Amino acid sequence: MKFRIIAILAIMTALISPASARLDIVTSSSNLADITRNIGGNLVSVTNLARPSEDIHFVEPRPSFITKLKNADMVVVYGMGFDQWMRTLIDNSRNKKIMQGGPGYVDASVGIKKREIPAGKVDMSMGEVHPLGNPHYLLDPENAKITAKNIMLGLIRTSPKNENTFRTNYGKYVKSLDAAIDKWNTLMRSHKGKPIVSYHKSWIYFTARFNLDDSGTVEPKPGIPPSPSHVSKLIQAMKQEKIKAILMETFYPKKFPALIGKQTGAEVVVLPCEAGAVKSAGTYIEMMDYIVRNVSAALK
Amino acid sequence: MKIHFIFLCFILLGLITMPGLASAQADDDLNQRVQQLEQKIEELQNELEILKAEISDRPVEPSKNEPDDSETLQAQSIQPTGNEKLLPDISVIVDTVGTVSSKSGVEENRDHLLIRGIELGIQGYLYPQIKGDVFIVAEGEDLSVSVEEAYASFLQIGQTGLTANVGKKFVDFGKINSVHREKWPYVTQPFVVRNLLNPDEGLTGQGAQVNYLLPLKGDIFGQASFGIWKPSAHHHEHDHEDEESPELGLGVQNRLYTGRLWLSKAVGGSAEAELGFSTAGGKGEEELGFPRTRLYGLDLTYRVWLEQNRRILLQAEAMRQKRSLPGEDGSRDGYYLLGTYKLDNYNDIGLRYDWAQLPAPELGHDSGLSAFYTRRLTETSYVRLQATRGSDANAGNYTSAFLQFVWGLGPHAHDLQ
Repeated sequence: MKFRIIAILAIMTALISPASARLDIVTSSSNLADITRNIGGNLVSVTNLARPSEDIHFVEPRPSFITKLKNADMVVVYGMGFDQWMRTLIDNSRNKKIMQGGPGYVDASVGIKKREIPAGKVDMSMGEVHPLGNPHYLLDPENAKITAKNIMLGLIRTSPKNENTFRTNYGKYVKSLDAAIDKWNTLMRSHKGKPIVSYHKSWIYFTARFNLDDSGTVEPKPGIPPSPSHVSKLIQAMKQEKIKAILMETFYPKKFPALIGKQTGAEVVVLPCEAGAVKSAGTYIEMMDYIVRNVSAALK
Repeated sequence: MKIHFIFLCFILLGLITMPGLASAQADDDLNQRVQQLEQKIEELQNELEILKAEISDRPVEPSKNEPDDSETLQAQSIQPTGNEKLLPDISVIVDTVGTVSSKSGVEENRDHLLIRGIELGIQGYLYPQIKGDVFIVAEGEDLSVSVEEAYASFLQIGQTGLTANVGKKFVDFGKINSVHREKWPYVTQPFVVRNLLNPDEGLTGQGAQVNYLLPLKGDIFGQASFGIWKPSAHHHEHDHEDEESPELGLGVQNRLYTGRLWLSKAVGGSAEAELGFSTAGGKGEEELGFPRTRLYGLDLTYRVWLEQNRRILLQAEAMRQKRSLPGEDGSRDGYYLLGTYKLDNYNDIGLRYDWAQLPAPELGHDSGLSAFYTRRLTETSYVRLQATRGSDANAGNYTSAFLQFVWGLGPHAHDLQ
């Protein structure tokens, strides 16, 4: 009799599903991965696809990414056409949960106040324009709160029983963001109205948030490589306006910015745009902190 | 008696504390509910602020009393119906190639700059997990129009890991047969693909294919594909002056079976290794007595992604064609070795070595070394230079050079390849 009871208990233990396994989340970028980890806490296991130093525009989809997506509970994408390569991967994943419209599909850009949505006819005469607006929205830390909320709602859809935990984590994350934003606002206050130049038109959200003047780009149009004539005009303009800083991401070539910096005296500020792209900026908040400190130092 | 008294005390104690406990529990529940509602109110307030901001950013509509010019009147008369949002993705790609060559009979359209092909792509979703792709091409000297591909893709069949493609498409054989020409890193097709598979852009067929994502452990991607097709007749013409041009390609008629096993694994965080095995077969041409024809392929690809958008690609593909011809050795082999280096988002260089026999019963082989440079102008256009030093089975040694200009309009997405 005792043996039968022990056997039944053992079988029941084997059949009972293990104490909730972590949710499998896949993100397209390390910023999204970091925010997801903060909201999900120890209830999630996050896999990121693009390397932090990679340009999200140009990630080549690989077959091995599909192995990460096929069993994922949730996927988080930038949206706005920024990480369009995710579409091919999600389509090939055989995972209905994470296909667009599924409960596990999270577009992190929902609710963002989008900038630079082209009006009228949109074509490639504008360069490699994003028809849905400028997608570099996470360079404004206020937008990170909206993204965090989208991720929280996705996690709640995926695991409703953990709603309270996700909401609590979201609240804590927003508080830490608010504290950091206050610090950054203080640091950047004295630079209000100062002009900067950037390599690509990716800093528009950052400059709007911190009241800088986005005065031009090294690229003549988005995605079009710099030409000598455009660079020459830019140098003239920078000298006239006394522009002190050229912001560029780690993956852009330094040749033209270095030349412009030498001619104008402006500092070339090489910045991460994803968490982990530089060693000392492993999280989203650390990355923004790195950006703000370095831009502030260059504008002094 | 004592026991009864003690027992009564316990009951009384329980009766006194229970309402208190119940009341405390009720208070906790209420507090929790209040907190939840406060959180929801805060979220709704945030959403309201965002919507208000969006409304305030919208352009102010002109007053109806203000005079309008005729263009504005015309624009106002076109009321959006929403139907435009249901349009598929439409794109067009134009491939222009200029060719010079030291020998006639080797390169098609020698000493000309001609449009090699115009491809109109129409792609979209029919249903949440069903896609449609149609590619119409105009090619050849007279730019005759034909349907290159028109197929539906079922992205998930039940919970099985199966997907399917039905219609006309480039069959899944080898590494590059299903890759559209404008996606090649070189101008001309590898000799082994031209000689033993198909001398056109690729081997297409009408039929169906199922693909199964293998449940492999770890990070290994594995997909098995099986297809049954009616192969398309090829329309490639060699510009041979004196001799009858050999009939290139697989030469299967009526029914073609294909199979492919595609494996891939990430190597570290920034490299990927792929291995593919392919097979195809069917009955050959009537002129040869319907010989049983088989093609086997092995392909290897290794890609390494470096900093600043650089990438190295190493690729090799080998094929063996077997035709059961009476009294003849119907085995023919071929391969290519490819290396490319992406210097940045705008520049690519590469080298390819080709060696391929002619299909049985022909004898002889073609070989060549090609170097190419690609300058990407935008995401949808590039210019490419290729120089080839080769040996043609019939024409002997030759040198050819190509200038290619590819440009595209509209979005044009391809499946993972």
